[in-house]
Amino acid sequence: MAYQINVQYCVGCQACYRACPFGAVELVDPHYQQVAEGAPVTDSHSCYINPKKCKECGFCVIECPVDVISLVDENGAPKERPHYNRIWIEEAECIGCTKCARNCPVDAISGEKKNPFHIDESKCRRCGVCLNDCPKNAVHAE
Amino acid sequence: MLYGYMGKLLFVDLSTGTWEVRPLSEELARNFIGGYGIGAKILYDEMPAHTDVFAPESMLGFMSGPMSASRAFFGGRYMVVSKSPVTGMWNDANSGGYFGAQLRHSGFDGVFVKGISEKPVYLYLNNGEVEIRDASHLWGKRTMEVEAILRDEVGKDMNAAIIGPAGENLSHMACVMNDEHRAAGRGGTGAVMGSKKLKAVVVRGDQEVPIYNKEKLVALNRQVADDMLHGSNKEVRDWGNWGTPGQMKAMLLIDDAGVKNWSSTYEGAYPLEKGDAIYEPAYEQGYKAKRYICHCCPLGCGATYEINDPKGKLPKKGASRPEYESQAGLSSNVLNSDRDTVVYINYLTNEYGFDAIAFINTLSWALECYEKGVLTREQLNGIDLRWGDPQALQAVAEAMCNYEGEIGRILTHGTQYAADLLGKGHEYLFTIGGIESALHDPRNSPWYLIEGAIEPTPGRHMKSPLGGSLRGKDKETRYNQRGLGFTAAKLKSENMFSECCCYCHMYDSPIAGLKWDYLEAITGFTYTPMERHMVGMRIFHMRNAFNVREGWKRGDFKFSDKIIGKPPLETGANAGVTHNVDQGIDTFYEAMWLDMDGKPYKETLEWLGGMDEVIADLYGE
Ligand code: SF4
Ligand code: SF4
Ligand code: SF4
Repeated sequence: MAYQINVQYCVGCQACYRACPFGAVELVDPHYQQVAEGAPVTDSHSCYINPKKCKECGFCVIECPVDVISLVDENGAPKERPHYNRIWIEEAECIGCTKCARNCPVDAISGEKKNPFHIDESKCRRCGVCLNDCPKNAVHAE
Repeated sequence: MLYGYMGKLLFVDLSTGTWEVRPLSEELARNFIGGYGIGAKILYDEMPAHTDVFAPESMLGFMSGPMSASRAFFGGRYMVVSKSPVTGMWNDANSGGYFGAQLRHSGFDGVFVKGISEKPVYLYLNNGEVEIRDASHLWGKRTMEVEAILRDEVGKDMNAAIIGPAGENLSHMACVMNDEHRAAGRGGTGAVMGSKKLKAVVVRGDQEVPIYNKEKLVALNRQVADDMLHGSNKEVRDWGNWGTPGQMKAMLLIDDAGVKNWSSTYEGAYPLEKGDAIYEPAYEQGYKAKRYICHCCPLGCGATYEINDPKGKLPKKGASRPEYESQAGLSSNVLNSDRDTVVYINYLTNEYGFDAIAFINTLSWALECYEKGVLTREQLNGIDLRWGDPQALQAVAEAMCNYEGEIGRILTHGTQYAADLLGKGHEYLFTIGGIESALHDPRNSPWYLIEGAIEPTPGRHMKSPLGGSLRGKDKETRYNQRGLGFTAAKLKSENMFSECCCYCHMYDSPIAGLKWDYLEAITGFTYTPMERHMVGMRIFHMRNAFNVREGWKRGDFKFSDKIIGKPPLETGANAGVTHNVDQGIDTFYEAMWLDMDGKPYKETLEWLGGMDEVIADLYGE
């Protein structure tokens, strides 16, 4: 599962590339001999999301001027983009492994190792990356 | 609700260290669009007439436009407005990259600065918050170093408009740099920033501009993308691969590129093979080139170089592919064949914050002055500055950047200043109103000269749409001055509108017919065809009125002799021609609703609307 670019309209403007906090977007540019493994073949520059690196934060989606970035499942079938109003960590369930904090693209999660972690709601962009990461399912969303 | 704008303008007084946020009214937005339109209206109203360009009351503005941060294609530019230290009159300069979009994400449509700070400062706009921060540690530093320090200091996601040492030293050629190698270049705008001790404006945030009809905006972008990727505009996109320098040889062939400080043509002094290392595709060989793209651009005409130079002079990182202006100005116009020299000097102008066009013209002027005995070897710090000598060119450029010796004293304010200082060398100037010409020879069409002289910012190739469109045409067409006044006025109006939206109009033909549709999708504003023309006219008139109030009149932006073909060229497409452009200026003024001195008629101002202050100032009511 990952976000994917429909290259029919992708002009390779790199807006998604710049927005991605995880370096999951790769540049494809025949003129400058830039290639990305697994990318569809295009005759001019475009961008490609590496499904192995994409953490599905959706940050790239809002930047795209032609709105061609969407979520797909393992088989490439379109999937609805999840929408969260609030995301929080249940203190009692959290073992303080730090994984969520390390992956949060906006540094909204803080805490001491082996102690419960906490999400700063004013910083959180409700992307849900921490939800997918937590080994104890201590992160909850509504 | 105001769509398409953040709805906020910031006004800062650096003398008192205070600021104020004011709402941006719908009326101002509708009448003046953005960019230098709104900028001119604000400076006209807020800055007293006859203010010295470096006085505390002198104002400097950074403006976005309705396209900025909207994700509209080609909408990535922003504008710097102020007075010009060269002309003493109105100035605007614009630049691409990401600063314009980020300015809006920081919560503001624009920021206007007056006053002079006691010590160096930078402005930090972060999600609607404002801070004036100490910049003592940045003063004296080059632009790219400053940008790197600022990224460490406030976060990687910031953008900054920065001056280099040129701006700090109040050079008349100083520009404002952003995104490492994008420049708001012309007119000496960086000196105004330097005079205020303002090293940078740093913007950061994640606020979004409200879009009136997002679906329509995406649909317009898709239509343009489809045409560029699969349809009739594929060619434009290919063109972007080579960028502006890709046209270098073609410009020589039509005698548009300057040769030997504009005194010759390729046939006369720069045999085509001399530039073999400089034309595309050779200009990239041996460098690792990567595409550079401004915010939401479907073309990506820029490039950056990674260079492995054993001599260690060329920077490993941070050099950009020189644009056409530098490419031609540092090769044919100085008779140079060495590509590394072109890249290196262009890089220096970015690092030190010089307007590359003015800088390279100053080099070519100095070469001719040295050859003709106007400048002595002592005045060139002992450098034997000969045509086409890469080492000498680099040495003089370095000395200009570092304000060394006589070179520093004489050359660092550009050619007009240098000639006035020496009291000689005026016959080798290639200027309108003291502003050096871009590398598109105005002798190719009187319209370049006409548009260059009636413009409130004289001598700008990007504000000469008619002159530009006649490039390469046959002689009768290029030289014709009759009956084109209204065409020129229409193009001028469109040019004003487009720039104030903050469109890049370098390669924007794929959206040429869609600009008003974009504006409607973003702002919800609609205009009748007549109102559209009036918008562009109003913006022109506000800028022009700024100068008229200062006492400017027709003829004050003087042509240098050489730029009108006095003496005429001996070879090429313009051989034997000296231009007299009075007729064209008459027709242009007529069509722009100005009297023959360049002053707006009272009826013009009344008809345009939104010009009450101008009417009061110029007609005493
Ligand atoms: S969804 Fe997030 S991680 Fe995936 S490509 Fe987009 S920005 Fe990168
Ligand atoms: S933002 Fe959209 S158009 Fe731009 S490169 Fe990414 S997918 Fe392509
Ligand atoms: S949902 Fe919030 S806390 Fe979790 S990773 Fe995203 S931004 Fe960080």
